[in-house]
Amino acid sequence: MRLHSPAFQKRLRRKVKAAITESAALKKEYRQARKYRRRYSLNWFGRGALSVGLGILVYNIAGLTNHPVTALAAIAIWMFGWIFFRAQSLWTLLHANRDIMALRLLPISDAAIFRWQIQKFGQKSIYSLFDLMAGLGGLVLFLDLPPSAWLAVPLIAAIGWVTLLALAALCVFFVPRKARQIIASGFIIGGFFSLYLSRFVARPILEFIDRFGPDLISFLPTGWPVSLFQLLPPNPRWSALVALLPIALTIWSLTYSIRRLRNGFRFEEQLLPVAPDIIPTSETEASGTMPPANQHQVHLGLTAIEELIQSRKFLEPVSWQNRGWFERWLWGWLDARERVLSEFAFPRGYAITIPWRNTFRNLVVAVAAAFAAGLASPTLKIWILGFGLLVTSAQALAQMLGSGNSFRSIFCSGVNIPIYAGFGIGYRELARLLIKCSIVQLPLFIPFVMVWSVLIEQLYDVPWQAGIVFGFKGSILLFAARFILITFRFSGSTNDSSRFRSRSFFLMFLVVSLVFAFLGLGGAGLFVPDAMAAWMMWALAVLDAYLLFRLYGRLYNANRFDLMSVPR
Amino acid sequence: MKIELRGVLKAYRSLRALDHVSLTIDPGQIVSLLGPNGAGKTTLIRCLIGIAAPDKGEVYLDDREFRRDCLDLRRRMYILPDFPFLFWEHSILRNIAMVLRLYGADGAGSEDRVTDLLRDFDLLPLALRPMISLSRGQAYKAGLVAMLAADPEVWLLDEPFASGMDPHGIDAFKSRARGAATRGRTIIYSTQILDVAERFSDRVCLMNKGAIHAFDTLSALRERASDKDNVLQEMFRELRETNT
Repeated sequence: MRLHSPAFQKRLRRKVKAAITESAALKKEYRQARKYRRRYSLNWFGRGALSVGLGILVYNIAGLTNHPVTALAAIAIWMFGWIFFRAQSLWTLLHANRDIMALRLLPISDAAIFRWQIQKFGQKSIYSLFDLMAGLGGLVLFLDLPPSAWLAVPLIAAIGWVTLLALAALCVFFVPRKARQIIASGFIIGGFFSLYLSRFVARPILEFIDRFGPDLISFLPTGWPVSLFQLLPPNPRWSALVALLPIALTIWSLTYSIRRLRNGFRFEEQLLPVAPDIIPTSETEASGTMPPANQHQVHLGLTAIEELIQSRKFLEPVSWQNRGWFERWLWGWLDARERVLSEFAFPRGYAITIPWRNTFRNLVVAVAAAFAAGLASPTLKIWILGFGLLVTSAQALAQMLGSGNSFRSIFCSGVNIPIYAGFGIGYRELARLLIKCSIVQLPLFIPFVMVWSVLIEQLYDVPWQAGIVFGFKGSILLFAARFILITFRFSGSTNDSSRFRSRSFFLMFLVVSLVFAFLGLGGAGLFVPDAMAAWMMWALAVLDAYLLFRLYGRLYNANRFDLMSVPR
Repeated sequence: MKIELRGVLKAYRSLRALDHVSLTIDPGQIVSLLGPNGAGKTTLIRCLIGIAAPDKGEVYLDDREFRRDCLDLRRRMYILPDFPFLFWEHSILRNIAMVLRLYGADGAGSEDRVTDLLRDFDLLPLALRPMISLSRGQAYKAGLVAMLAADPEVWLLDEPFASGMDPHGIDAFKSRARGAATRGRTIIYSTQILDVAERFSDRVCLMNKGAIHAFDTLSALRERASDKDNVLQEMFRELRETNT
């Protein structure tokens, strides 16, 4: 789709060029501007290298296990993770992309803009096609297949790519945004962790994939297209053709998804229902539940509004301390300023009891279902347990590490400014509030991670005592990661690393070194066999996370960078 | 609050948004920041409040160097950008209450102040409406009311007269600002409307390419100008000629 006239653009360029040639001042400015216009995107190189890396990984996995199915399962897991990134990208392109705001001003139909955004989605996702080609290529190379197999690789990769796009579109509808973000982040952190601690974790992960390879390519939707690869070796597995049916259904769902996305793609100002005329401390709001939009609302007249203000009830903070014992504990621990900040960060009040009750209920249900299913099929037990642990851990981490509205950005005068910066909220006071929120939840979080760990260890036939120690250590490390995540949240709303200069370099070096040290020490604390050394490493990792938080805070307070970032 | 900038340099790549700016603003003044687009007005405001970090130089407030951990100093200032820092899903009243609590200005008498301000800015009937349902001018007025209710010592406003406020709102703001200045509050605002700057400022700060071109009272500027009726227009014309 062209948004401009090429002829007009040509004429404009010619005239601008002529104007620059005629003016010495403009020439000077042009020369200065040119210096900074040359931006070389590392995207193509970096992302291409990742695809090649996947090819090499697949080749090595096949070599180590001597099972091509294991290598195919690795590709399927890789592509499965990408579903969530692609879904996020699709959602952003259609609902949060700044181009749309500009396009709204042009005389272009909604349908055309929608088509253009979808095209952009396709273009952005092209790297996944390269991933598939590299991964399958690595396997062809390992198996030393004939040249005809090379011809089939792009075809299977293309089918896999379209399947991935269809799954991403479905994911937009059926997986909540928060869950998508958590899963996508989990894949990054998990991938990074596995790479960094490959010495400790590579073998168990590889054993797991090797053991469940055939299941993985059957159960994971991204495994269906890659399973077609089994048709290429000299002795093909014709049963792989069965995958064509779910693949066709998935690809067919793309038309449904596109239609549904198109219907939801309207340029309308987002309007909330008229605010319910309730006072902030009323029961409805205190319980965190707002009345449905269609419910009849009683509008207050001028006198009533004045009375409401005069009664000072509007100044009373949202009452959330009575939601449960943990909330009361937290409320009692917060000082006056932190209580005010809690309203800023969590405008609907902070909830601990109900989310944790839900998490533990889900865990119990998943464990019960897994053990019941285990009577019929051990494989099914593992899958149900794995799924339950994945869901509940996402819930627990979101609850433990959530920051509410604290780091929301406001776009003004061409930059994004974090909202806390607008109200003079300090680094330490906001961080202290968030840390306290996490500490109060430790009595719930530690047993949760312990149970989680015991269940995982049980799969590997490790004694439950080891699982408990592992879980305790892991939970404290995850709590310590809170310091790092808070630092990252502050950092994400600044321009601390947007330019290459000596102080940015120092900052980056500091942050990266301490994060690597945390991962290294934390990993060693969990996996090193010598108990004393492991405990020491573990303690050092916790200390390291706190150190990073404090050091970044010093730089933050010393005005070493701006509290704003240029929108991408 | 006395505000002092000492040789503040702020650069965005090769562009010097603030080029060794030194400036002292005594309390109780209304200062208008003028200058062509890209002169550094918004950057100056951001440096004063700690959102932008100077590459060189320091900002002193009441003779104390301002760092981000000087929260006592920071809470005596309030910034109101072109799009106010507010929660758009909350009602005006809820936002005001939050600002009052964050600034510790929710003591006795705040309810009268809020009622008075909401009435003055024609927002009383909308007090319970979510911000997102308001027009741009109304939303800006809501931000303004929150600031006025918190009654900080330094008001920093970015283009308040291009915010979509209606004439009544602008008048209400001006009279409130005049009253606040007599109580020792400092009001610093940027604008492109020379007429407004001429009538509504004790001092004018004319900026160009990150530097202070002139910083003086209007009467002092008039004395130096040849066209005494259009002193700011003349200075702008001169600037433009210099720039081209």
